[in-house]
Amino acid sequence: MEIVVCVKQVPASTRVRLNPVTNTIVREGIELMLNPFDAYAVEEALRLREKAGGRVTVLSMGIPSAEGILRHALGLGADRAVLLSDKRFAGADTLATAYTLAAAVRFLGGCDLILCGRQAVDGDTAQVGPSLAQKLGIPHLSAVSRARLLSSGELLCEKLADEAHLEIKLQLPALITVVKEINTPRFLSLKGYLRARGAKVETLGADELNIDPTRIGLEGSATQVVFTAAAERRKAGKAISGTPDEAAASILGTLLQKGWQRPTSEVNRG
Amino acid sequence: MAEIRVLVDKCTGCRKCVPACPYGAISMDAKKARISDACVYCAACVQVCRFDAIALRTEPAADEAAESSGIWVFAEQSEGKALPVALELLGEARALASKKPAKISAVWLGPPAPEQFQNLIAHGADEVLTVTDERLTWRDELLYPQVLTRLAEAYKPEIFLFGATGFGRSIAPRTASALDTGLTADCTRLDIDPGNGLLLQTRPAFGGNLLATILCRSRRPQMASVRPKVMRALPADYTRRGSVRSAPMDLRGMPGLEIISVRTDARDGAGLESAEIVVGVGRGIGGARQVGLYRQLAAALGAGLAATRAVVDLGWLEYARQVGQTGITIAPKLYLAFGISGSVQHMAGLAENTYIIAVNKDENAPIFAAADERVRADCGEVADALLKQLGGGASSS
Amino acid sequence: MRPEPYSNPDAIQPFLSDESSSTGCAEGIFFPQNEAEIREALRFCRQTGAPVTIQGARTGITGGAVPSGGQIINLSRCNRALGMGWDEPNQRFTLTVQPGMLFSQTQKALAERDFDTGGWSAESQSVYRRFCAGGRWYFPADITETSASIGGMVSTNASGAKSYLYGPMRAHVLGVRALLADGRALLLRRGGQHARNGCFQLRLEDGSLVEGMLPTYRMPRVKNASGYYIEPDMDLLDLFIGAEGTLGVVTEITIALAPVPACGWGVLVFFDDTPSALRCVRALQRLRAEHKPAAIEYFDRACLEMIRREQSELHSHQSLPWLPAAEAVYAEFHHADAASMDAGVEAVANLLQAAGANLADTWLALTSQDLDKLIDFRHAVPESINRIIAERKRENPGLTKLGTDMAVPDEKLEWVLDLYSGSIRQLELDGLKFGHIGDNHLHVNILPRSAREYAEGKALFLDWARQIIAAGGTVSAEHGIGKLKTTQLLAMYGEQAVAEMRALKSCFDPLGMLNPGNMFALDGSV
Repeated sequence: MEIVVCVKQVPASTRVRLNPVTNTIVREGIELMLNPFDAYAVEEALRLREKAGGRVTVLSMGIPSAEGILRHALGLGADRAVLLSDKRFAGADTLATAYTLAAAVRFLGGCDLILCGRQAVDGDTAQVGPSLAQKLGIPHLSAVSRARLLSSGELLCEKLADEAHLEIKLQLPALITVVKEINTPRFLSLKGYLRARGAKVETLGADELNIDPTRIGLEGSATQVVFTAAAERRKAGKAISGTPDEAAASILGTLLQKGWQRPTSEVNRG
Repeated sequence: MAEIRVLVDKCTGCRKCVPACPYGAISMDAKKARISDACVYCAACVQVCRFDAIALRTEPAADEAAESSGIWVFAEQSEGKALPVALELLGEARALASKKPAKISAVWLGPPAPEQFQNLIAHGADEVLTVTDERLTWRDELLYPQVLTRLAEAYKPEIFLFGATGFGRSIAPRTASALDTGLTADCTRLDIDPGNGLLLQTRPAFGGNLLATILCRSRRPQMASVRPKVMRALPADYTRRGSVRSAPMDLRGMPGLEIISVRTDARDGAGLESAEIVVGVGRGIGGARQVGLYRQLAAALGAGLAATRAVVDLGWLEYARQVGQTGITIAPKLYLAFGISGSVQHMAGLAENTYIIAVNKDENAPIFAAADERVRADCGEVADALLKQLGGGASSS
Repeated sequence: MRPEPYSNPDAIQPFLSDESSSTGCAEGIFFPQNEAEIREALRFCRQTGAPVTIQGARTGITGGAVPSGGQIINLSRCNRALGMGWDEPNQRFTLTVQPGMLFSQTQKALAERDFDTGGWSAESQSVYRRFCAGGRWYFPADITETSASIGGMVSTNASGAKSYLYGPMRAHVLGVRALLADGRALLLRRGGQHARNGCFQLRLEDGSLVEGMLPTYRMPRVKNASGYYIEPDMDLLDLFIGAEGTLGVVTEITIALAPVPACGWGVLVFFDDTPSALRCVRALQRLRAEHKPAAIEYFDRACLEMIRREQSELHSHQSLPWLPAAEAVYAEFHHADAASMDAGVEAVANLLQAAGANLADTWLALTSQDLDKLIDFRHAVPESINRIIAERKRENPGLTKLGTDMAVPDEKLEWVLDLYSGSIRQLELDGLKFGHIGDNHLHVNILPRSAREYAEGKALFLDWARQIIAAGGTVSAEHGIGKLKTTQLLAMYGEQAVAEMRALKSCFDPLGMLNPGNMFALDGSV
């Protein structure tokens, strides 16, 4: 079974270099990491391969340092790692990204199943997966919490739709985006790390893929960010001081004063 | 091709752009800013430079704008009833239309439901555009985008809004991809640019540390999704007039998903969507063993219990309770936040007019700037005291 | 600060305990905000003849901050940084703080480069500007409970996992300002005043002297927090570090800062049995200089079983894969750059493999995300223990957790692990072993399920203490003696040594006002 996992390198949003609560060191410089949701996708791909055999390829569109996360995936057990890196890919929104990833998947000879993490923590929310499936003309299922390969070759998936649990049989080739409930990703081991050190990460640029240059990068994007600013804060309110007992009394005072009664009926078993 | 340049004559070497870049792409070279290949044209530096010393140039693309008109709202339905988010989006569409006149169409895929259509009109739709087919009864994320794509290609709306429900977040990108147009997900604000009439789509980014405003300049429709409870529905006005138009479409030949079983859950098991008071816990409560105390407090207050992403990631509480940009949005009257630092990512999950009382040991916690009342104290001690004064008895240790 | 203490019982009540399971009593409490107010409070106590207990953040677990009558001087409002300096010979910044400033507060202010510099001298302000403009600096001491106060850390010579490399608090204190019980001030700088041949003559700020003889006992050659730090020709600053508040009230502390290591990584290695684990611990302990680990920690089979049970029954720790049925060793390393980190990982992998470890049975954390997961695991052990004890307490209110804090010399590590395991197994107690194995310092926790097991546990600890003292170890490597381990200190050093400690204290505090009951009883009782 040919499995492709799309992964993304994202900045760690923290700016503090030392975590004062845990008193731990954070890597100097802007820390870049594997998008947390993608770790679940990689793990699920590895588990499916363990059951059904085949090959797991991790694919990422990013700057050259994204090689780090691909090597990490190789250390976890992926068979092949491909980095799409080209100055002309830069500035891509999800539409252009989906187009480029689709071109890469075709270049690699297609596959049976594509896995993506549900969303990236640095911007898009759950768009690349469905967009990519559309570009490849394959069905997709989002927010999958369980996946099992049937002997018929179909993928039996469970997902939590907005108010119901659905069980859906997907015909392959297909794409699924996965949620954290699907598994717990394994740690890299020292053995895997050493093995990945010597492994090769294939790099592909715009020239290798058969693509329309007007549909990639900033030029191929339908959307652009034109203004970025820190979020506005509301005005500071009232400070309550005193002992915990006094603070609690004050809070209860607010509750009563505003008419948000303490409950008698309908105790919510939060 | 895009191009970003530092205008060295204007650059004063003030270095403000260096930390503003989330990708670490800017460094100083002989007192002038230099942008490396790590740049992804996010324009954060352009915004921060007070000397207009950074120029970002993009190529204009073909203009589809002229042909399109109208604001579409996807009226997501469940079991034949429109979801509240659809009504909220209609309210927002009306607000947009007041800035730039447009016909508002609610797009309905599903069983025929005349009362629902009237309700949509009462909440702001000028027209309800329907495709009714038995296969559309179930929200099928493979079938719906095909229908929506055909509709959009035929009728060419200028703006297409979706509720960012789980379903919406799946079909909107697929539809946008099929239409080769832009989609901005989880917008917290929508507006019309008074100069060029474009839809201004604003949302938090980078885990909530920054806000971004996104434009879809030349492709149509301009698509955006908004989470439930972020916008407000207008009060229903049943005297409003509107039309119902059925769009003919042959769905044979359109593949759909094979649904094996459906198991409906009790709605909203966490009790958060409807709760008037919500107790929120963050990492500052100290540990998983402290959660019990806040459960008791929530029970004593008749409140829901919510969590930040950090708490859910640590496994102290389940994901269904996660409030924030990547969780749910809630609109209680009162939010009692314990040990929550108040990241923009989390605060995006609270409605604008929620009264916030924040308890935190850290006097620099950002939540204090957003709270209506702030208590700088140990969370556990205050929660304990609250519980005692509520007559909740001894807390668990 | 008002001249009288708060004497309302409700106001005092929250301050009658610390993190040990004991509660004390007191008549009043002061919350001074600076040295002048501390002096005022001390004067009040002297005039009324009251003993006084000094408190920081009350995170101690040996009852050091628990008052036994009299007054309390709580230093939590003395929580500001007072200035910064530059230590030219050692090329590092220094920071002077009030004793009530918390460790976590200090780290945060350093990380965010955000201090309230109101009242700082012009020179401090200038150094501060340099600090803000430069690279990243932090306070390299390490403690497990980061909400402790700097003053408390000085009083107990606190340490944590990373003290294996960076040393305990003692290694980071450059100077201390203190008030004696009679209000006289003294200023001690590292290298400033020394004892000679066991005699000392300490010059105070007003020129007067405190003189006397140092105790003659020798401290064991292990990580140690029991009793006064004594060396015949010692730097007298060290007398005040680890003195548990018995000699004077520390009013200012100057600490040395260090550049934040550029990168760090950690690895959790799993073993089927203790001998295999110890082989690797030994190999790691042999690493020196730039290869020395920042920390080497151990978790026995029972610890992993406990977390694993919580994973399956309580669905907690969901960020971790299933823990295997094994024992584990955790090692952490800090590097100045990515290249040396890469080389370091490879070198340690080879070392572990040569020592018999299975490299596939490891959890490697190279990113801060993964390091955080391993931290969650390490903190989960004591947290889970507390949770289980809380449950058992509900059935049996008299029960409480029993824990040891003993360390042994290098060559006794295998022996002491056997001793612990053997006794626990023989008595069929619910016990766990974990801790700073790099320093041959493990905490053994017994979770009693009945009054009988509680008694058995206590007796067992006394027996262990006897054997470990005989083997050249210490009864307290990290937590200090406080009021709860005074018998053990006596057993460790003997009556004569404790009498000498008493005599030393009376040089500084002839009326026995300060923290009576800490380390030893004043009247010779136990």
